[in-house]
Amino acid sequence: METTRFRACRTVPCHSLGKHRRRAVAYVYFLSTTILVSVIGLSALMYARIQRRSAQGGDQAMIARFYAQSALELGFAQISLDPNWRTNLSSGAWFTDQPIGDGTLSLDVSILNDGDGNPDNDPVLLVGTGVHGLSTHKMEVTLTALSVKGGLVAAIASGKRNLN
Amino acid sequence: MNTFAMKNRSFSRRRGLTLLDMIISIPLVGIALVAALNTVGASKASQFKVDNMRQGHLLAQDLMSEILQQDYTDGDMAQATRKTLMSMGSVTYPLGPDNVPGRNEVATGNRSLFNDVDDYDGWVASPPQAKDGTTYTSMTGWSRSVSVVFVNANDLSTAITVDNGNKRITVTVAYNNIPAAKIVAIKTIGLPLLEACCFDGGFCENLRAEACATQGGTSQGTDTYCANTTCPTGPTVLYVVADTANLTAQELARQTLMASWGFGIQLIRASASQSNYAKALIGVDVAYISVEVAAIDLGTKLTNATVGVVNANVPLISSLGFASGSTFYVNLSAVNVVDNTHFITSTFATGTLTLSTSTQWFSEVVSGIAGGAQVLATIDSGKDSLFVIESGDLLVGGTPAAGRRVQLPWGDVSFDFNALSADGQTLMKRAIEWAAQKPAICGDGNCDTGEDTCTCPADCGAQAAFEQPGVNCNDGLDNDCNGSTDCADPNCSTDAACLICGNGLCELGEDCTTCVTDCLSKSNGPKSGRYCCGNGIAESAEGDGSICDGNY
Repeated sequence: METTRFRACRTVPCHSLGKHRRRAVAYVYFLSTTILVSVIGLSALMYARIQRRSAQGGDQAMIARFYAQSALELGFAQISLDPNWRTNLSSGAWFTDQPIGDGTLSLDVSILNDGDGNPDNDPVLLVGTGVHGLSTHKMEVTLTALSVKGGLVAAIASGKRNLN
Repeated sequence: MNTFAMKNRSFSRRRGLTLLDMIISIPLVGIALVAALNTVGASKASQFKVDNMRQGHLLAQDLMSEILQQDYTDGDMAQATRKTLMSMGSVTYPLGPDNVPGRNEVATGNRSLFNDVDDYDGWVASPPQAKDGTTYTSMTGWSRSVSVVFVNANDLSTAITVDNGNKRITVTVAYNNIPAAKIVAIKTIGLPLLEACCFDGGFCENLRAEACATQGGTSQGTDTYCANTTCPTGPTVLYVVADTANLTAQELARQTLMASWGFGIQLIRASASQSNYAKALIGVDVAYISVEVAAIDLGTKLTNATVGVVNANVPLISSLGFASGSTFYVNLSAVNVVDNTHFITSTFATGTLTLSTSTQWFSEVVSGIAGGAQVLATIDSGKDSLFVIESGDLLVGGTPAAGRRVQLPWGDVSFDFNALSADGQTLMKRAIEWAAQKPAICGDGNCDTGEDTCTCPADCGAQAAFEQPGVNCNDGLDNDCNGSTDCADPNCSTDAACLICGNGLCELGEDCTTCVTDCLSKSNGPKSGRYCCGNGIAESAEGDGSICDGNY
């Protein structure tokens, strides 16, 4: 061991070189450990931030969906509570950026011409939009006329909802 | 050895750190390590928060989804009524689970009986639990609370006190009382649901329940559509049986036969309460009492029914007020029709009518028949067997019958229904049909079959002054009661339905444009019809040319 060590000392006194190297190595060890721990910590912090962003995005999307659904609900109520809704409510935005919770909701309605010449039977497309944070969710329902009797228009929405 | 020891000592001295090194390095490294470990700690804390937030939102979403699946209200108020009240802004009711007789939604202590949105108002649970009350595991410290308020559609932030069709639901989730998530959503009265609505003659229309009732139909209940509903083409029969859940073969055969006639059938257990009978009678036209029913179970529950009652159960003759004397059974296969002027027997000749394909026990009333009874058929040398009592005519004891009554000639439990002949089945069918019809009683407020504005203006409204073209010339009624109906009435000669183009007559209302066959170039009839005014041809007799192509 000694032999090997002293063989490397050619230009500077070996005892001086060894002493400094050992000190430097010790510092390097400490520094490396510290940097490693810092890097691990920062990485974890960064990962947590990403996770948080991701979770927030998911949560916001989910809440936006509830807002969009709420927008459609409000549209259904408008139709339900006004027997003359086809006359009294025109196509277009029924609600725009209506505040709800920490976000907003909007509802756009358009009449789809089914070409049967009877506008009272035309399908109606409701598009509900919910916005929360950076997330926007759109949900749409088409109400399709089933039959007409006594001047009342019967319609069924996609799914099980229907109206008369 | 000494030299080696000295060398070693010298090496050790060189190898170690000086005190100064230590003094400088330890605080530096310590500070760096603390900072680094803080970073790790912060990331851990952040991760914990993220997990909490996610957990909280999932819990909130779980409960909100459950709430939004519920109905807007309990449905204990007709939707039409509710809407009317809403339009007046006067629907108020306490939010929260109901706790009234017959509807205690808090009885279980969990949400299993919650069936509308506002039942959830004020709900708090820690730890969270499922709808059936099962506590979620590993959720210690978590809590969920719900608030439901009425809001206006154009202002979802402000709670109001009246229900105008919109409820705002807020679900809040907390962990150790620190809010972790909050979701807000709106539930509204929503679209009205359609139901199959049956009308007389089997006509079906998908309508809202209230619209169905308004138009005189019978709603078939929720989740019914005309596409999956067969409306009865005949009357709806309340079929009284011993046990609705376990029909006997004879009861089943009878039910099958009635259904094949297009009759609507609603079963009721003979032992049902009087109040249940009252409810059941609202939606039916006639009640049929099968012989399998124990007299003691039914008793007098149908005695005062305002709908028709067809009885095939001899032990009930007395309690129904048909007869007070003794009854007997006779083994035979035919009855003797003594009156075929009645609807029930009008398709048969008087005399012997075979009702069964084999000898069966037919029934007869020996004495004490109701004063208002009209006997249609007899057996056993003139004993009353088939008889009817018109609504308002007297039952036993002098009480007027509240509805039509028929006593069929069979009524013994040993009678084999499958042995009923074709004529026997016809007799039964017509008996039910007759009893199901409301008798035409002028002045009872119903414009019944056989009544019109001429025969019963009290029920059907005052007669029209005259038949009016374009108004009532095609309704099949003699509206002005002058003995001429529709086109037969001169007042209707100009009605479109009464103008007969092609009969060679240029009638009032016809001209050369609407009926060229009859009116072109005619020299008689109204001026407008003599020649074709407007055809671009100056016909010789059109007149002075001031109006038409030529002159007239």
